[in-house]
Amino acid sequence: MHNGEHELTAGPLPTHQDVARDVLGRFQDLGHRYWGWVTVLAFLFILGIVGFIIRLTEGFDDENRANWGYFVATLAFIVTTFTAMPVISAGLRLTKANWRRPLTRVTENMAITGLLVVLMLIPALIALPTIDGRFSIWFEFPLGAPGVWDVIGYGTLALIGLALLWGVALPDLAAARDHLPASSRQRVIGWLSLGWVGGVRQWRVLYQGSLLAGAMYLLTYPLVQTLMISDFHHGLIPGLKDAIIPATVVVNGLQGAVGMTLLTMYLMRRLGNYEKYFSVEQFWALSKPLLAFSLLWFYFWWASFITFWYGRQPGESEVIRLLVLDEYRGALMISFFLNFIGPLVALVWNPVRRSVWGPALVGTGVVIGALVNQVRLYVSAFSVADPSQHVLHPRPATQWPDAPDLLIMVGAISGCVLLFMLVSKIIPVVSIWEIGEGLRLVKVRRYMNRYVRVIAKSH
Amino acid sequence: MANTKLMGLFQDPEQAAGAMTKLKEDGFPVEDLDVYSGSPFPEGSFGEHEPEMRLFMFPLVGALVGFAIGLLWTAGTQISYPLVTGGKPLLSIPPMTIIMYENTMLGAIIFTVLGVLFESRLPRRNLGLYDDRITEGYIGVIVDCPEERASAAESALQSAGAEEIKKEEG
Amino acid sequence: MYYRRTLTDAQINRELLDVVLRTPMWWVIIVSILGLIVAGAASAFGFMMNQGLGVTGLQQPIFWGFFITNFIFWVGISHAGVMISAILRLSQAEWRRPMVRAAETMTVFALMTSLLQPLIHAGRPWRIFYWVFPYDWARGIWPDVRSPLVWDPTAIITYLTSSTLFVYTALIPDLAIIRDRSTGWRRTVYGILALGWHGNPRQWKLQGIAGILLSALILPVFVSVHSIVSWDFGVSLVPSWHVTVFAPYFVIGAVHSGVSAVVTLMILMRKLYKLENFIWEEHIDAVARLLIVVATAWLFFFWLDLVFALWLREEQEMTVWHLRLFEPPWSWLFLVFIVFSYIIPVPLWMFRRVRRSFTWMLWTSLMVNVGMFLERLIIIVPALMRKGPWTFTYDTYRPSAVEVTLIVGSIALVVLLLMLFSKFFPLIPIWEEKEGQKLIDDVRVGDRVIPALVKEH
Repeated sequence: MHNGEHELTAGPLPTHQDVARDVLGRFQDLGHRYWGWVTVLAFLFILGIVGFIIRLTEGFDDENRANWGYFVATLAFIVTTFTAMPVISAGLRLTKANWRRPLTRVTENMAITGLLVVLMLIPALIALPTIDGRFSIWFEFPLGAPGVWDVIGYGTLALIGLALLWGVALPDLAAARDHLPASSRQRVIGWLSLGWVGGVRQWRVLYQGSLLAGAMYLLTYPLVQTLMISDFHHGLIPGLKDAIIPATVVVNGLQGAVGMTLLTMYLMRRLGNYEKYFSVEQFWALSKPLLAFSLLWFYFWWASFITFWYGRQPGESEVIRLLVLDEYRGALMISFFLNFIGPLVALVWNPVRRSVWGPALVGTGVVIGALVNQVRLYVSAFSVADPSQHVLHPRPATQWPDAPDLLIMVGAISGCVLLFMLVSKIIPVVSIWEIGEGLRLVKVRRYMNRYVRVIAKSH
Repeated sequence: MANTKLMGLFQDPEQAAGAMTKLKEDGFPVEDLDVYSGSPFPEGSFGEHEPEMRLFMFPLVGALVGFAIGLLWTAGTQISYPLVTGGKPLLSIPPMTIIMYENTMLGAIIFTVLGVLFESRLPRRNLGLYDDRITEGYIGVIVDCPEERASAAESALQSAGAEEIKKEEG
Repeated sequence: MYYRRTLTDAQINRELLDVVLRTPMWWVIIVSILGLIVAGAASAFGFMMNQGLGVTGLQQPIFWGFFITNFIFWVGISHAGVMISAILRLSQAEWRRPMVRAAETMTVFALMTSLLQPLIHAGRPWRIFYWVFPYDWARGIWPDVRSPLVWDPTAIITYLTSSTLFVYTALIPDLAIIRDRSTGWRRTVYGILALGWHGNPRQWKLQGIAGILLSALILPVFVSVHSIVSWDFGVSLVPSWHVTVFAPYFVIGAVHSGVSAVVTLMILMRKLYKLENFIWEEHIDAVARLLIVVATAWLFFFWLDLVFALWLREEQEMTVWHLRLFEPPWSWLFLVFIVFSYIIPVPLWMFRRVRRSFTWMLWTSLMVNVGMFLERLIIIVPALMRKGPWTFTYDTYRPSAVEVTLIVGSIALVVLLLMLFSKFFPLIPIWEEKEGQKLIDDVRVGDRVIPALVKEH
């Protein structure tokens, strides 16, 4: 690991053994803070379940559909941030970025949130009106559209995520199996390691498998985002015809994934002393795609806005008023500043990009902006009284969250973090083998009057 | 006392780096040393002076100039010729932003190129102390020093393995 | 990307300046043939100006045909330069080195050619200036900035100026190399163009920063250019054009066709200019991998365009899509378009042997561009030839000989300009190749020596 500073010296690099000792030491004793956080998060998660039960008692009738807007927005937020995070490790592994190594595991461990997404999807689908008599991406498609297909889509994503998480972690599970003192935890870890011994064949399969699973996650993610935005937003707003919106939410998801990764790394540095793994190099490197995704998000939004603004057909005018100019203008403004202006103004400066606080701060803003943006998209759609009209009329009023909404939002987000922490008790949160491999591929050597880093690309 | 410039030509970059070290050890300030090469080396390879630059100001100023021109053009023409087209407002901001954006970027890019030239101290009318072999892989180590230290510089370059030493009166 | 054979600076100079410092006969022959074709196209244009637009196949209700298709096609090709150069510079991809200059230069010439197309299409080119530029102070009548037809020239001029400056800035060190290798008036001219370049660390540092900074500034311009071209269609109310996805769909399609054109260019350059030491299978392989991603992203946007076009089941929208998909000749052209631009090339590119074969890559990359030309034609013409409530004259569109001549002429023009450029400037950046040679290293792991690269940070 390097701190990304310009001045390199001839000092020795840490070895694979150093990393293994350090990570397994931390892993063995997670500390009292860990349990404190788990308790708090579990409590908040239970509060979320209370909020959900309150919503359940109100029922799923058409007149109660608006009550489910914030629930669906929260679901979309999880898909946009936590569940999107494995996309980062998949993409970076495919492009063989060397700096990815300390952060891949954090993003892959978040794949566990795919399970919560599938669970939350079921009530969300029940709250969705039937597709009969309204426009939808399914046209006349049979066999339980959209519910069955949405569950299949999200279920597939969750399964690929879990396969990626488990498969890539096998060598580290084996390391923990071999070095942790005998306990029920050690036995579970040993069972999960599937008898990994690290033979040549196993490493080859692991390498190919991680690329394949990553590529499948990358390809499935845009598809499930398309399903979500089409079924839970686009199909509920009469007159809306916005072909770019699936791409916009995918970019928002990539942005959210990077933002959440930066925030997670920052918190782990502050709360878990992971400074030497999540160094300036990782923050610096991730800040560049964050800036690119932020610009792309605005560009996609603008492409749809300018088309509607010029079109001025009755359907378009009403939609633009609802989502941009009137009822949800505030939400758009917040999202606009946090997801576009903030990253643009801050991240064009290299000193900001090349810091820990800069990308972390911008990333936090992007995550908050993504939440507000989901509220704009999904709460507005769920508050439309009659989705079967041709033109939106009347426009629904701005809907603010009530107490159960807030409980659900806080509870579901806490649930994701809780799941991540629980997984981190089984799988080390930093990938020992991937960092070890990276260290073998790097050397620092003298180059005329200075030192340089030499990086080999494996495979 | 007039200054003089010397250039030692090296075939081997390692020797040129050695010459830089030797010259610095002999008390020649690093700001008075320069290196000419036919292609870039990793920064600091010769232990050369870190140049100070303010390039970032150029695109900013250019962007502001471009934005101002775009604003003047789009707002000015709409206001001076108040004709409603396509039911759009007389001062339509969304289309204005497109032209203003293009002009902003054009300004930023033109000024960046000007900035790069200015900071590179280009254009220069004559090459001064230079050798055509530099673009064929040779390294030229330049020493700008007072006349009385020229022989010290020359011997430092010589001892580092310079293939040829050229001299220019400043 | 790793260097197979270490070349000295003098060898690199000699091999890459071969055509610049002497004039081979094949070059003269090719340039003469291309010159004749361009002259033929210019005569066709003269004939069209003399006779009027009646000599084209344009007629009620189809007033946008081959010229506008060609305009979009060449703007699309022009996106390759920045795509390859800026993105690969920003990501510091080693394999960029042999292809950046050719790609950037193709951008400039493709863009110039695209700019000619609306002028030709107008029939009376000189009149365009009234509509676009606010220069006529005497009348007090100003161009309407609310019209996307005003945005187009603004964007293209910005892109053309930026790309030209981009090419020139990166060319300065190579101009110094030519200056040092030439004598007489050539030395004077190259000396002036090289601006007195010495190659000290300050200048090299700025050259590096300029590459990154200009890339970062040109990238948003590149995205905006084809978006603005797409809004010529998107902000109208013509069914199947008034689509929000058009901007990124056009941009990614442009990248698909442009990067394919870079592959074609690289392979032809390698053969003609004997650049085997600089352009290898690995380079083409890397671009082909990039093309798989780009083509698949393009397909996603194409699918979005199709699905959301049908979403509201509006009658006119359905009519246009019916025409495109089911009525000959459009249905045939549609089939050729989709098969050529995705169904054949992308599965083939999945195979390493195809990606590393110059012959396969030449034909598949050419195929993509035939497909992408048809894509633009299919977007434009069927949308206009639908029968509206007040359409009384109605016929399909058949391009005339004049239009076909001008299309062929435009291809010849771009190739001719590239050939002329290659006579005076190296098509592969010499200093970047030399820099690449310096960064080669290796790392030993156990019994194996793995190729590696020197990184400054």
